[in-house]
Parts: sequence; C-alpha cells; structure tokens
Amino acid sequence: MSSVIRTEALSKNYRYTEALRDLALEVPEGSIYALVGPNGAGKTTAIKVLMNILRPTRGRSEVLDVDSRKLGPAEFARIGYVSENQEMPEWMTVEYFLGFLRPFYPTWDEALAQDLVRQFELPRNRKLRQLSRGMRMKAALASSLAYRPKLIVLDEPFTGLDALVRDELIEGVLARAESTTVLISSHDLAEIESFASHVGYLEQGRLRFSEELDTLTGRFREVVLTFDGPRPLPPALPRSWVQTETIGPVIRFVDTEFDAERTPATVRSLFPDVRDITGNGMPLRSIFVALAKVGRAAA
Amino acid sequence: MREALLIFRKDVAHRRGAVSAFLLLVIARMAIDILLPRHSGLAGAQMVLGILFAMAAIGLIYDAVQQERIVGEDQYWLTRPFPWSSILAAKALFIALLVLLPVLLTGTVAVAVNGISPVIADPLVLSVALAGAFVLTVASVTRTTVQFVLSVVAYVVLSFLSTPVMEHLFGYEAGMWGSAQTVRFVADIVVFIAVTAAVIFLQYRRRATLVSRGVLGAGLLVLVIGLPGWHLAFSLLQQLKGPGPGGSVQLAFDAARSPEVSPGGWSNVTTHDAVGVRIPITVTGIPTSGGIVTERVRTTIDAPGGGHWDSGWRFVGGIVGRGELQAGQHLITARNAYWLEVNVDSSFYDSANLRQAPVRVQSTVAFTTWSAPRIARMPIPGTAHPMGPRDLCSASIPDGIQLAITCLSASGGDLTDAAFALTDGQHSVRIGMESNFEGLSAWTLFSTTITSLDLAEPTPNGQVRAFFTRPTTMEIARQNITGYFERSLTIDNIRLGPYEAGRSGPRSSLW
Repeated sequence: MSSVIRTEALSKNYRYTEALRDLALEVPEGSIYALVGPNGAGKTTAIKVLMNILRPTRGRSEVLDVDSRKLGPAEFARIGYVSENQEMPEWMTVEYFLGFLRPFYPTWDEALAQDLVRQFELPRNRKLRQLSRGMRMKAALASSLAYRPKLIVLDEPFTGLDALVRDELIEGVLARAESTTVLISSHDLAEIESFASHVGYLEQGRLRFSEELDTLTGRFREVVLTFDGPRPLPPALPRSWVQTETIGPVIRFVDTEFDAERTPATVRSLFPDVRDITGNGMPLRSIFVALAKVGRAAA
Repeated sequence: MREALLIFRKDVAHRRGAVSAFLLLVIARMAIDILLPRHSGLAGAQMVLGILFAMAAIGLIYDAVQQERIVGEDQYWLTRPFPWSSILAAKALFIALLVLLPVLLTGTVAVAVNGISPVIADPLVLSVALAGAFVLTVASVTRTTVQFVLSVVAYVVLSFLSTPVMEHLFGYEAGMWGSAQTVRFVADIVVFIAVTAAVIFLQYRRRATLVSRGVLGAGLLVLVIGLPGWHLAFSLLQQLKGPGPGGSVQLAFDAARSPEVSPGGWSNVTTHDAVGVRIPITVTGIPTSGGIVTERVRTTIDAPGGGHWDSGWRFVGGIVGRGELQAGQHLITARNAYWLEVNVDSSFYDSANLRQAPVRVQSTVAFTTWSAPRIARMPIPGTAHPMGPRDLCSASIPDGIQLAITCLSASGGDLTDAAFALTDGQHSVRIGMESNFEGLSAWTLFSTTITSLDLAEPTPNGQVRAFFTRPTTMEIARQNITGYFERSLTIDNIRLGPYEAGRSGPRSSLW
C-alpha cells in the first residue's frame, strides 16, 4: 500500500522551541489516520507543515507525492483541509461561499455539494459569521468534500462541538471516505476509536508510535494479578509493564506488549505464587492516558 | 486570469457599499476641482475632501488586500487552489479599476473643463498608483489593522522628521536639490517601485514575511533619508539637456574690487564656526533673455604649507549680486559685477593663516539657464488665469489688508521660479517666489500655492495704514529651465584678509 503522506526527519523550531523533532510519518492510502497526543505535542504544527502553511526547519515531507513545500493550486484542488481555527470569509453566506469556491475546483460536484448542505442542514442564506461553531465546521467540511478530494486533513475538528454535531461530521466524512485518505488530529479519543484505522501518537514533538488501531488495542492490556496476601514488587520488572501499582493482595499494571501466551508465562516466572491473572482490554483513551503518564514520568 | 476575475468580483461584492461611497467622494472631488479656479474659497473643502479621499482609498485597498491576508497561518485560502499570481492580479485590478480609473476620469474632466490639457492628469494618477502600491505592500506584510495603521503612521512621522534630522546630520543641502530634484524624484520612484515589487513578490509568492518586512523597512528608510548624489544627478541633467543659451557664460576674477570677509558666514543664520568670504568676479555671456541661476558651488582653498580645504557641493553661497531679493534666488541677469560667496571653516581659516597669507582658490559653480519669463496680466479680483499648460492663478483682496495670490498647479515639472508683479497705478512691487520642482501632488489634482502681500497694516487706534492704494492689476511671470552647465574659476595668490572675531558681519541678502 502506497503512502499519501510521508515525512522524513521532519523538524520545526519556533525560535527556541522545538515543536517537531525528526518526525517520520507514513499515512497509507485509503486509511483514516488519527494523529493524537496531548496539548502542545506538535499535531497542528505537523499538519501545517504538511499543508505548506509553515516551512519546516529540517527534513522533508511529501503529500500526494509532491514535496510539501511545493504544494500549489494543482495539489490543493485534491486536498480538503478543515481546521478548528480556520479563518473563514465571515461575510459570505453559505451559498455564496460554496458558489465562490466551485470554479476553482475542476472536480467540484454540485449535486454532492447540495447533498452535503442538506445532510448538514446548513442554512444557505445565512452568513458564516452568524453560524454556530458546529455549523461553521459543517460548512467548512461541506466545502472541502464537494470536490471529492484524494486527501482530507482535519485538524482538531471536534473541539468544542456537542456529540450530535460530532456524529454528523464523522458521518459526513466516513460516507465519502471510500476512495479518500483521511488524516485527523484530535483529542477526542473516544470518537477516533470508532472510525480510525491507524493511529500515531505524538508527544513533545516526537512520534512515539504509529500503527494500525487494531494492533495497538490488541497489545495494550490492563493486567490484574491476585495473590493470597499482600505481595511486594520485585526490584526489576519488564520494560513493557507500565503504571504498576500494588493495592493489598492485588498488583495492577498496563502491559504495552501483551501477548495471550507470553504475558502469563512472564507473570508466573516473576510471581510463582500468583493466584489469578486477568487481562482486560483497554479503551484508546486509557491507553493514551497511560502513555502520557509514562512520558511525563520519563521527562 | 479567470481566477483573478473571480477573486476581484468577490472583493467588489464584499464592499459594494464602500465602493459606491468612494466613487461618490471622487465625483465630489471632481466638482470641487472644477469650481476651485473660480472660487478659491473652496481650497479648504478641497483639502478636506483630499484627506477623506486618501483615507477612503487607503481603507478600500487595505480591506481588499486583507481579504486574502498573507500574514498568518489560519486563513482559509492558504489551502485552497488560489494561485498567488491570481490573488495579486485581483488586488491590482481592484486598485486599477476602482481607484485609479475614477481618479483618471474625474481628473481629466476637471482639467478639461478648466481649459488645461487633460494630459496633466497623468501625474496625479501615477501618484495615486504609487500610493496604492504602497498601501498594498504594507497591507501584505501586516496582520492586523492596528499593525497597518501603526506602520503607516510611523512612516509618515519618519518622513516629517527626516528633513530636520537629515539637515542636522548632513547640513542644509541634504534636502535641497534645486533643479536636480527631478532626478532625485525619479530615482526615488525607481527605488520605491523596486522595493514594493520585491516585497510584493516575496509576500505573495513565498509568504516570507520577516524578509519582506526587512526589505520594506530598509527601502523606506533609504527613501526617508534620501538618496545621495546631488552632483551625479546634476551631471546627468547636463548630459541630457546641455547648457542651453547659458553655454557661453564665463567667470573671471575682478581684480578691480577687493574680497570681503565676514565672521559668521554668508547666510541668514550666523554660524560661529564659519567665515564668510566674498570674492569679486565678473560674469560674461549671460543670455539676454531669461537668466542663469547658481545651483551649488564647490570651492577648494590651498594655503601655503600644504593646508587644503574643500567645501564640497554647497547650496549656501554661490554667485550673487547685491539687492537681488526681488529678482528671485541667485538670479544672475545681464549685469557684470558679481560676488562668489563661500563659507570657510573658521578653524581652517585661522590655522592656515588665511587672514594674511595668499592662497589659491578654485571654485566650480553649477548653473541652470532659465527661459525668458512667460508673463500674464490679470485683473484683481478675477477668475483663474491659465499659466502655460499646467497652472492657473488668480488674485483677490479678501480683507482689504492683504493681497492673496493663489496659484493652482496641476502637476510638478521643471518650473523653477515665479515672480509676481503688482501694479496699482502708482507703485510696482515684485515678489520673489520659490517654487522649484513641486513633485507629484498625491490625492489632489491641484496643489495650491498662496502668497500674501501686505497692502496695509492695522494701527493701534483701529485705523488702517495703507502701503499701497488698492491694486487692480497683477502680473505673473513664470520661467522654465532650459539648460544645465558648470563653470570653474581658479584664482592664484589672492589675499582674503582678516576678519573681526566674535562680530557678525553684514548678512548676505540671499542664502
């Protein structure tokens, strides 16, 4: 599978702040790639560099097989970009906005545009400045889907939106994502989990991991060990065990490399007196909370 | 081009109300410009409308540019297929069609109605085009309206401060280019166009805001400070235009008269570090019609013992006659006896013992040749009288005390001097008036020059003491430059003589 987005050692500095450091990212074609991480991790910076809004300090990146620093009208006619902070032409009505953009896109599908307006229940004659935040995001998304882009880039699209609007936006994207690659950055891990195929975790400007979501959720387990009485922790534990804690006769930890056969065997070798071993699946949110805590502790 | 038209159409649709109001303002200005030559009292209204026009045009252009703001990271258009060249073309089209074209059309109508060649509206359009380019450039490197306003205000304040600051740093000559002002003006325009073009390209093509701001700041600083090279400019004019009828002028030392020395220098302002030296000379070959004018003088003095002093090209000094105030600045007509004035550094004068030792003086004088005056006679009060292809003048006595002479100049040019003659049947008074090159008048079609002459003065008991009976006729004479040339003079073994330190001598009648 080829990559729609590819970066090599991509770095971006703001004066004395290193916002991105040696980012090596690959977004496979047709995937829905979620770029997640805590505030200030560098997600928005990474996306702005990819969209040629910011110039990288070092490294290189390609989007649709073009150096991101050379992205121009021809490429942007195939990219849909929606950001939470995007400044829109507030004076335009929804209809004028879509009508104004239409001639710039050779692949603009007017029927699809009208479908999106109906689906998102956008008021055609209302000015963008008069729309709620959710409605503005819908208008931006409609204007970015109507030309059937090859790549959709969404930067924190769900921030500040209620659940209903979030669902509508996700539906809008998914319904038209068959032949499209989606790169989305978000804090909303619960929503991401419901539709992302790949996930990358960015922290302090570094990509900690990048993999398919199923693989990720498969290798993270909250493991609970039960003993007959209080049990001290041995001095050395496997590196893949994080957030280890002891509560009376119970030891709890998160295994970041869980394997249904190998993990119980390792436990028994370290704790021969263990009475019970339970491995619980973790929601994405819990996985990232655990990772964030580990990251902070390491820092 | 298709994309540019789409963006242009969108910009017009966005501000159609403001555009309509602006066009009404332009039409109002045209009406004032049409009426102004016959109703000089409208000069105030013209000024107010000029300011309103300037602010409205700036606001309109700024707003159009900011629709696709360059500075920033969150503008929607950054990730849309808008070619940078189309955005720039749209903004240029906006300025051309909605600002320049109305100015050109209304200006042409206004001058044509007043009987002046419509061609002279062109410099006004050029000045508005340059101002429009300036607004576009500053708007392209600023993020907010506050930033933009502060930048423009800073530039305006710097421009006003530049003259006194530069005169303080580099002397009185810094801003006085006389007839060479034309070259400086053209050079300024070339630098301005180069800077704005570079910044606009950097911003629209590469969005390199930091670099663009640096280029713009440096370029404007050069323009505010002023380009160096007066003599280069004068030499260029010599090459281009030649000496004209003044080509036969010759200078010679007049041994029949003695040099004069004055502490404090020859100028209207006493300077304790200068000694004014006045050397008698003869000037021959002066054209019988018109005259010649000293633009600048460079003098070197070589004293015994190797002492050397170089004045550089100075505006102060030059070749003067006596009692020429009424004739205009440094005007040399067909009289023979003149003086070469030089302000020598008093430290050199004393250290090289110029009070007693014979020295060698070498002077090179830059001259301009003037045409014969074009004279127009008109009644007072009367409607504006056309003066050549560019100017309209009229005179009135609004309060019985002062004669107000108003000249409307539709553009700059090579007009160098204007002299007003007043006749009342009993007296005749000539007033020297410096106009020189006036440059392009931005925002207004007619730049107004008002000169007042006291006809009477109020006395403490409420009476009016009249100097002249009420004049009924006025003559206006205007002259053009017809040539540029330099002449050198070398005087060996001349004794300049002593001066009385600490005491100011007689002031020169001229600068």
